Amino acid sequence: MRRFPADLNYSLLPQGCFMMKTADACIYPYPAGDTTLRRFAGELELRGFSGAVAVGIPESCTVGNVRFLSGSEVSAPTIKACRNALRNARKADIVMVHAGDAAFNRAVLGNISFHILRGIHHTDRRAFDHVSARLAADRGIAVDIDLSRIISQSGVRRQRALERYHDIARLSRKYGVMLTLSSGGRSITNVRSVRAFTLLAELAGLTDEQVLHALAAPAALFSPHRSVEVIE
Amino acid sequence: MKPLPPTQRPNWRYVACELVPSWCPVSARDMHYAIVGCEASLFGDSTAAAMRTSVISCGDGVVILRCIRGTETDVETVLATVTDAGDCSVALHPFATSGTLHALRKKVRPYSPPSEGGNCKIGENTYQILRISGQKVDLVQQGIKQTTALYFNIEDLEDF
Repeated sequence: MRRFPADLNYSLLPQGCFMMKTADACIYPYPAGDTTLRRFAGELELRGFSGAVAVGIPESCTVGNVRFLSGSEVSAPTIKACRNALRNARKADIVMVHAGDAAFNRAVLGNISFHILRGIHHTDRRAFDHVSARLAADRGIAVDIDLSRIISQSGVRRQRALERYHDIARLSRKYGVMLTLSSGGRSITNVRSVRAFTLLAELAGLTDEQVLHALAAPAALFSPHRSVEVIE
Repeated sequence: MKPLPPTQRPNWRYVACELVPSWCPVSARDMHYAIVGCEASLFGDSTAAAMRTSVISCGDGVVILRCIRGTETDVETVLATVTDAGDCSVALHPFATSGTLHALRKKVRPYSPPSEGGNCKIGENTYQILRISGQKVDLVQQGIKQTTALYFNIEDLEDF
């Protein structure tokens, strides 16, 4: 039987995820998009979300019942350029880095501190393998499933994206890599409901449990639960 | 011709969806082609044929569809992939499913059309203001090829 997030058992989630138990991992409010943050808040609440990562806002805020975390995106061809870009980037709650080839991804996942690896659908099949998956799982870095690729693309591009997402879902199940789900919305016409997210994620090969954790992942990334350190 | 007895008729399910933005002037024909095109693109022609989706009505911010019973979930997935209809960028959010049109129409809320609130200028562009229910304000610019819109709240408009 197919289950939707409303029917699932939220007690399985780690503590701290309840404030944003369903969050869109990437939206672009005005001026990058055509919809303001307040309007996004109303639309997201109507569609069942309690939070989102908004790229370009100066700091995190709460509008109505929706919590927005500030996000910044870094796209760089080399590890050095990536490090420089992160140094110069505005301080944000969630830092996202665009994926590259296998060597770049391994170097970034192993050496740089950030939260979400985005744009994995642009890379080839070998760019995110079991080594990268282990590194991401060990360092608590999430991999983003950008649903706008399934929504707005068609033909070969959509097939490639689905293929890559199936691989990532499999690696996530095996190595425990965190996933996030994002709409990449720049307008209210790009916002989808939690139910639509679930259905599209199922197409991408995610299980119910993975969808539930992926929707709660931005909050978990923002306030990770680390083990207690004993200071002597 | 004698009508088919109820046992021999197909089992239809009717799905009501919210059209975003509600003022978008899309005809039922354009909407049908958009949905069937997305269906064929996502699931292939054979599955699209098995769903037998058709648009019953499209207007007042609500689209009512018909499909074969058992394919509602797939139809909802297809509706999530609809991005354009006619010349407009739209989104469809299904909110009710029923076995009869009569029961479905009871679940559709009455539509309040947007009221025009004059014009405003942002940058070098002039937009027509459409006041939607509540705090929502849509700024629409009618172009030669396509309509562009900005989606604001009343408070955002006061900030400009």
